[in-house]
Amino acid sequence: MPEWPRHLNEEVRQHLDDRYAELRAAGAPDADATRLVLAELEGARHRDLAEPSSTGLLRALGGDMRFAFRMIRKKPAFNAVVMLTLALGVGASTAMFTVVNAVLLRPLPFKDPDALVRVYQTYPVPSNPGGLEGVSPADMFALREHNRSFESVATYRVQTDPFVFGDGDRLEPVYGAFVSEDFFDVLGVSPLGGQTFQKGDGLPTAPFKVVVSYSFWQRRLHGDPGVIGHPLRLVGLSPPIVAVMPEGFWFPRSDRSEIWVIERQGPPTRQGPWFFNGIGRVRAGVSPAQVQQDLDGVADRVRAKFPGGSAPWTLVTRSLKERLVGDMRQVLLLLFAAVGLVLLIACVNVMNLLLSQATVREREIAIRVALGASRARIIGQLLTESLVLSGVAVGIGLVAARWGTAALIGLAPDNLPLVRDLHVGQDARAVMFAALIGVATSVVFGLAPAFAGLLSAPIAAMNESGRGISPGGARRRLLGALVIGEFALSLILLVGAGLVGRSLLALQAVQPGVRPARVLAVTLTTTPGANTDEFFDRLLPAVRALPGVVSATVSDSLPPDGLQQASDFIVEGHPPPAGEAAPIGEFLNVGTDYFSTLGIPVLRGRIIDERDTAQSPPAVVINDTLARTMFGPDDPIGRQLRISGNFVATITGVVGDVKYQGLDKTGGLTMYAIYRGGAPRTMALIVRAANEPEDLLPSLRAAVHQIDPGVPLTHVRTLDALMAESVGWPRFRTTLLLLFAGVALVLAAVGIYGVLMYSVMQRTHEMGVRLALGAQSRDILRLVVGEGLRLAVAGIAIGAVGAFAVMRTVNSLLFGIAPTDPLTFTAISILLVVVALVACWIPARRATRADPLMALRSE
Amino acid sequence: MRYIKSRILDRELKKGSAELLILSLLEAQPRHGYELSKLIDTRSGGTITFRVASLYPLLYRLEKRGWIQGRWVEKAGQRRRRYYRLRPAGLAVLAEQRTGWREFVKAISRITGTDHA
Repeated sequence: MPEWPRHLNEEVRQHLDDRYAELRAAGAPDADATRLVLAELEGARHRDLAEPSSTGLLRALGGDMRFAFRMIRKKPAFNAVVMLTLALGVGASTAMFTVVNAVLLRPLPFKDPDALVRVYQTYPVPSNPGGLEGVSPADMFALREHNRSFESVATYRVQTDPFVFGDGDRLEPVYGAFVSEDFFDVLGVSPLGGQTFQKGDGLPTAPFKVVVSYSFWQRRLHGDPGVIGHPLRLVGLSPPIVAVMPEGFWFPRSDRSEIWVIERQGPPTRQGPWFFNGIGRVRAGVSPAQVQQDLDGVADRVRAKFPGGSAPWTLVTRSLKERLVGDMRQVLLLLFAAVGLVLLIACVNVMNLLLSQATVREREIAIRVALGASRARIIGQLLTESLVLSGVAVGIGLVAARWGTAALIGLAPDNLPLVRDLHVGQDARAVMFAALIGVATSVVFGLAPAFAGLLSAPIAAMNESGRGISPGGARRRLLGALVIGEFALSLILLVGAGLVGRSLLALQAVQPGVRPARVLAVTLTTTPGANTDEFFDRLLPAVRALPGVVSATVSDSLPPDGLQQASDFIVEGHPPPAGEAAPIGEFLNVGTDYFSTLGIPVLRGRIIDERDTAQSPPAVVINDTLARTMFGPDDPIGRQLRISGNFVATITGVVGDVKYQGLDKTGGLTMYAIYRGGAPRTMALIVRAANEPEDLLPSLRAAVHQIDPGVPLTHVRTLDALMAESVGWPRFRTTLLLLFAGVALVLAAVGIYGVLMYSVMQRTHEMGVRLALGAQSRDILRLVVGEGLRLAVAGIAIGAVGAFAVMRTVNSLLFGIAPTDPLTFTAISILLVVVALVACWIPARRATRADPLMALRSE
Repeated sequence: MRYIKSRILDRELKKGSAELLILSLLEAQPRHGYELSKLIDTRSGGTITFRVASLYPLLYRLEKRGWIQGRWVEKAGQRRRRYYRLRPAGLAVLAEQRTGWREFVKAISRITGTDHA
């Protein structure tokens, strides 16, 4: 008899009831009748009846499994809710864990990655104290020559604008970086084929060379192993390909690293420019203090070699990993915590559902206990059931996690490093994580009804209704506590989502200082050897003459975060006091009509126009903040700035502030000069259109190619799109938090609904009596809704305290809103109360329909 | 039967005869479990009682063998009960067991010299 047929329970129960009734009818007092019935049960302590007569553990397990599946099939709706709830929690948290694991837990894909550091300059700038800045060739030359702490050091430089790959007549942007000759040695990554850069490749006289990525090699070069030594046809240069990197090597561009071009750099003649990224591999056994001491010495040498620079700067290092994941660590951990809360709520919910369900199971369990089944055996059976349940849930969850991870990667902004090479669903650790959750939750769930069942007296279970003796009150209190917990957790999540969401709104409401509507930007790179000044001088009038073009200009930097160049500067005749660094300003090469095209207000003076040529006296237009910061109430017009040590220009005008380093940054000091006499070869053509800006693209292309057919149009985007892209990270985390918080809200609603429904069903009799005694429907409604609301409000109060504590730690993720923002807290609390009200309504309605007659009859 | 006092013998005999008793009682009409236990108790004058622990598993076993068939029957004003009726296979077994039992008792009587009046 491997299975215990359900009908036997009922038959036995009836047999005992019949016996009891017979004894009572024969005049036995209740106590005696009960004792005699129990005595009859005592005789039933027989293995055969008490439990499935399985000899071996395996047979028992097989029986349990079959039984479990039968139990699940029996209540498909209920078990579907349980499994889906759990699957939702498991899926979401596994997806999030996969990303967290890839970004935070997995080591970087380099040799001995812990020894890798980034090298920075730091100096006390008032606007950015302790800020980390790029290094200069002077720093790196000195470091290479004089350090004792590094095995090797290298530099790299990422260009926002792509290289252009010419394949036949088609031109295609290619993303890459300029890297110094020891770059690959520092990272310790060997090429798949060929040889990476060698000593001497970085000399200013050496020919350009290029290393290509695996994906680029596959996609554009057809995986041809013979490409080594062949030139790569880039517009402007055709360096020979010297190596192909292995698959998955992406550093330093996490978004898209396709090629690495050798950085050629002669011995420095000045202290700047500081737009290089330094990277180094620290020797084994060298302490951070020794590294710092070493760097201080190197900085002293640089200062000695190039006197007169700004004062107490020094070089510092930061762990490469920390820098790569620095911004993300907090966001990802926050999201992980959020998804953990969702999982917790899901578990609480499942526990709630199973505990309610336990009322039904309790009788079965109690009978079996009464019939002599061992407790271990019953617990085993229940555990098997919940293991089967959670096993199915974990399975569904893993499938969901696969989609979820893909969706997360899709949602993630381009600059989320280490995620791109993530192989969805192949993360063994994530699978283990999910399995662990499944086992842990199933143990908890499995035991809850077991204990509930074991707690109740056998005779109570024999009783037809179980009313009176059953520990309904205690269980209701436990369920209530779980609901309170759910609401508390939901509130924390919702408040977090609310605050982050409002931060995003605040960020999007930031005035970028330009009018971005109907403005299109197209990146142009002039052909090598061409006269860049002349090209743009001829292009701009041609573009302005196109139909549908309101105005046109060029610039090397674009708002809101596309700054290309920063320079130190001083007000001529007013060097900074000794010991203080020269301020760093944003420097833009722009064309005429720049301010009108972008809609930047002119505050005073003359802006850049046709009078500014390569031959005219250098003029510079500054922004309002620079004027206020450097000149206070004085008129800056006519004053001179010395920029980058050697370029002296007269201030002719002051314009409104524009964000060039991100919408959340303030206080940028901006300088604009005409592009003529030193235009970068890559500039953005910026056009304000009368109608749809993208419609202009064909005529713009024609205009460009009429002047030079070799100039590709790359990276076409509207200013509106750039604005949206710049809030990619905040949008990412806001979307996810809102999603998680929404799920939590739904689960909490299901939870409170389930508990109230259970409570109402338990109290049908009570409700009927109340109605019979003259209670009105609305009294019953008030009673039930009041019970639900008490739980919800208690949860909200506890959650508010928790949120208050938690939100302080995420302050840095917020923008323009306090972590304790009363409006958010109030609004979320009201939302939760409303949701609770709605969820309570259905059970309350049901309670009012209790039939007084039925209630009395069953008395 | 009434002369046998040994508990062990009693149990062994009951075990051997339990199936026969149930099948016999079901021959005339379908009955439910409690009814079966009452009948066995009263007709044997209290000599033979079936405890809950042995009766229901036995019914289940017989049903599984296809000798009897249980069916829930609901009657107005009563709880539903599970009635068992004899199936053709059970009828055949009953006939066979009856014969076997009669021969067995006859044989025992001849040896022990007891009369089964």
